[in-house]
Amino acid sequence: FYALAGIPPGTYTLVISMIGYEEERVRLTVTEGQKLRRDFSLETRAVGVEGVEITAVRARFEHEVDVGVEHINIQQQRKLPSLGEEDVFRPLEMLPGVISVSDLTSAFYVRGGSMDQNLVVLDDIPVYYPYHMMGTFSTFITESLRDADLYTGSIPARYGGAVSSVLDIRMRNGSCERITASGELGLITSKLTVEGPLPGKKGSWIVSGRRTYIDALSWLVEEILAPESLSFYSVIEDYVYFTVNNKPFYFPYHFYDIQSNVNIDINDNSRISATGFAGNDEFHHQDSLLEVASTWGNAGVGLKWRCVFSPRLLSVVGVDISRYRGYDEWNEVEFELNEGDTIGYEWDGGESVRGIGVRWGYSWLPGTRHRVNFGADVDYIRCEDDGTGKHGGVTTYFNDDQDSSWLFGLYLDDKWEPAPFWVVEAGLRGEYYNKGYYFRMSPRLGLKRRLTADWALKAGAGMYYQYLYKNYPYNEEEVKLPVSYYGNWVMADSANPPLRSIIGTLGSEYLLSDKGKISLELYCKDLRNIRETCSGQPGQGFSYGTEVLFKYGTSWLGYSYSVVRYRFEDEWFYPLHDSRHNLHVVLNLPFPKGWGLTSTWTLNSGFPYSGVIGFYQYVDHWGREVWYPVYGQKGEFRYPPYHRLDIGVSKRFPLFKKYEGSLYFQVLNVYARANVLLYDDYFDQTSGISSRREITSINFPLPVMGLKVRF
Amino acid sequence: MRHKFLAILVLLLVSCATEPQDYESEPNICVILSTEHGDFEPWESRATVGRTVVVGDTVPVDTIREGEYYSFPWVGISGAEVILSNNDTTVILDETSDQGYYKLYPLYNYSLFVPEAIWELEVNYPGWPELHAGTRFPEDFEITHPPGDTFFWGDSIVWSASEGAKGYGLWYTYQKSGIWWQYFTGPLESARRSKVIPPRDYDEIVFRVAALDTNLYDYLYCGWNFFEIDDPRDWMHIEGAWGVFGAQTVVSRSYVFSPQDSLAGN
Repeated sequence: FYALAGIPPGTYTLVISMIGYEEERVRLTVTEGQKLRRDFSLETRAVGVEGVEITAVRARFEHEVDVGVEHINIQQQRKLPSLGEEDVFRPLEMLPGVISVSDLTSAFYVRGGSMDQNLVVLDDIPVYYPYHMMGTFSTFITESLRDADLYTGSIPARYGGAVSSVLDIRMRNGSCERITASGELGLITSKLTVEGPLPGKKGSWIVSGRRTYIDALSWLVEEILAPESLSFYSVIEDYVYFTVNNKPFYFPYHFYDIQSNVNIDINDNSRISATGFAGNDEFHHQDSLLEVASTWGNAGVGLKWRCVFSPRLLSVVGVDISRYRGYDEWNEVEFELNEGDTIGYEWDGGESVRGIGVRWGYSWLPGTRHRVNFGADVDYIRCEDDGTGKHGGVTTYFNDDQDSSWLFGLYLDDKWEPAPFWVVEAGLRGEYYNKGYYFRMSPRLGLKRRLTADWALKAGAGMYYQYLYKNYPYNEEEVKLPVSYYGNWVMADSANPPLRSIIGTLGSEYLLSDKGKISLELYCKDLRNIRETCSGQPGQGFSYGTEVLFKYGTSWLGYSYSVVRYRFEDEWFYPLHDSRHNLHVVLNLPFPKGWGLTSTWTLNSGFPYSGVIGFYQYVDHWGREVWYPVYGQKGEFRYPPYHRLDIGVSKRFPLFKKYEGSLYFQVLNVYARANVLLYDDYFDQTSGISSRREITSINFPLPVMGLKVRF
Repeated sequence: MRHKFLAILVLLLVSCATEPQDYESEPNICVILSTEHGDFEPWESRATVGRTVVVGDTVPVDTIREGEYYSFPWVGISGAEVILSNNDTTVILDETSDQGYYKLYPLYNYSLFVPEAIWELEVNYPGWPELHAGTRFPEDFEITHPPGDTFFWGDSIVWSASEGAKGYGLWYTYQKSGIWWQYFTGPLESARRSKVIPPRDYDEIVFRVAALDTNLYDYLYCGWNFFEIDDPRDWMHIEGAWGVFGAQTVVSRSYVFSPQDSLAGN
């Protein structure tokens, strides 16, 4: 629902526009006291350089502060080359200020914050661990998504529980006209989306599903190709120390997702919408000696009631339930505890995060210059970590940890246009957290001053708190490799205060010829009460940087310079996700006759690591003398710079005269750059030689292709 | 101007990659005193001196301890002066024929390694700083359960507390298997001095429980559970060196093992 209040009587042209959709214009006459309602259904359009929807861009430029905010049209960004599967997080990592630390994980880091400091919501439903394959892909099916807003600076007061960023993803409504379907057959996954109107056209629905066939594909590679020649596998081989059925490449793993949204118009002023999602990663193996079953994934459902009380007062009331669960079962017939001695071993256990939220939100338009939002929310979160281990049928390990908390929030913010060329957004959020009896106030402020019709200065600042987080990891493998699904979530309590950040941003934005923009932002972020995994010590972080974004049509160039420092004891150090210079070039070029070219090039300064400088001999509890590494200072060294070029080509064509097909072919890492992922320093105890080898990620051109069909 | 810009850009990129700097070898000491004497079992005494290795070095690994059957022996340094002392006794240890290994057995005959005894260590070597460390044996204790001679299937071993111990190490073997199992109680579990023992098809089970002083407990337990970005020297407690100077008080007991008769039936 959209409302325009306080319109003086007269005749107007109403323009409805949204990036990625055909613009609609309608002439309306408004009389005194009249309440007009119009419903619009926009047609999608292929987005290119020509005919970019500048109306929506300009409207946003003139009436929103948007400091540290990036609006993402997901349907546009789907064209970008990605590792075998479209991913909503990949385009984010092409924006200045957002980085990924590895090719093998889609977890993102914003302006010096760590990956757990980002709140990801789908239609206001929190998604606690939005990654598949332990971080390689996100859990979202892009076909049924509409757009997203990434808040990296001035986060609106209605959001709480994140100190670094908020990624608010929205599903799109299904077709209100007819039932349609689209499918995709890709190298790693296949997808199907079906949508249509409800009976009587009183709403719409959309359902998307996706399933990978990594298990079938790896079996095929194992049986037909020579797996030893694929160095990508060597990365996994080093960190997955078992073979499956004596086949070094077969990988009995897959994941699936389902996403759905239903909108029901109760009457002209009331709508109910429901969103649901579920997805799991599954790994199963069974042979005569070992049986392993691992399952992990998210599920959530949300219900919202939108109501227009008057043109000046709208409300949204919602309830949502979300959970993440990771679970293992392990049954080994001959578990080797000591050399030559085995016993049966069983394990089952896992961890979970579950949350229930109730949210009331109101939007009030007291006049043409104000938009006031206010509301409240309540969240109940429960974390569980349980496990039972048995040797020879006797329980030798048992753990059942549970923790829960309540978080209450109230918020109020006002977007005010006090004078032409000024926009002010001021907000305040109050929170009460029961574990530790924390009461926190979280002010937010944003300002924009347009100096000319196309050029504006902006500034923003805010204080944010987070009550569910992760400790700083103890090794790089945990963040760079997809080797762990355990969230290791920590709840704030009386001994561990909530995380707190203060973010300040200054910026400037210039619209270019109505087709693009240049923006420059400077930021600094102060982070407190972070903790280290191994020592549990409290610490702090500080980051600052500059971001430049040059956007033209659907292509852009983004550069950022940033510095991140953390401290847990006395010494400041550069954490694992500090990268000094980051450059991203994204090209999205349409050509005649349905052809399209996309390309991305990324250049990052090397990430820090704690280098191995020596080895020491250690006598263990068995009296064995083993060699362990001696590390230098935390974050003292840097990997070589990272850069990679990806290119994709697509062609749209009519299929059987009435359907639309699209074939795409992409090559990742076109010039075979061997980006160093990790160093493996080791001491050979039999020869006495210490040495280092590089572990690279994708160091060869990787082709990806697929077919999309729209019915 | 363009060339200067490119040069700066290249320098910035190149300067972002840093290789490990020079690291100099440091002393590495492992001197463990025990109330049990023998031949380098984990609950027995040892005294070895060595050094850390720099990345890129090649070290000699042909030093095999006399009678040694381990695959990975201690790479030691010969010629260090190792001095042990307590209130009444000061002994300069003799080096064995194996490089870096020192003889403790002359001290065994004097019953000097006993509960509550306090010892000081001094190590001198050309080019090294003076190394000093101290340790105290935890007090005597006993295995309290099972009280009799029989250990039933599913039962637990329980022992009394030892004053001065930060934690305990448990080693046990099913006799005739020749295999030992090992278990620690961590600092948060110091009140939990018991362990459920899995059933095996043997007729005798032997336990050794070692009360570990702070130095030895931190070295063994933290070294077993260490995190890579920890500084291991935080739990080594020897100023100026890697390694450990610690003490353990050991008690042992053997039982007839009865796997067929469950604890519930007795």
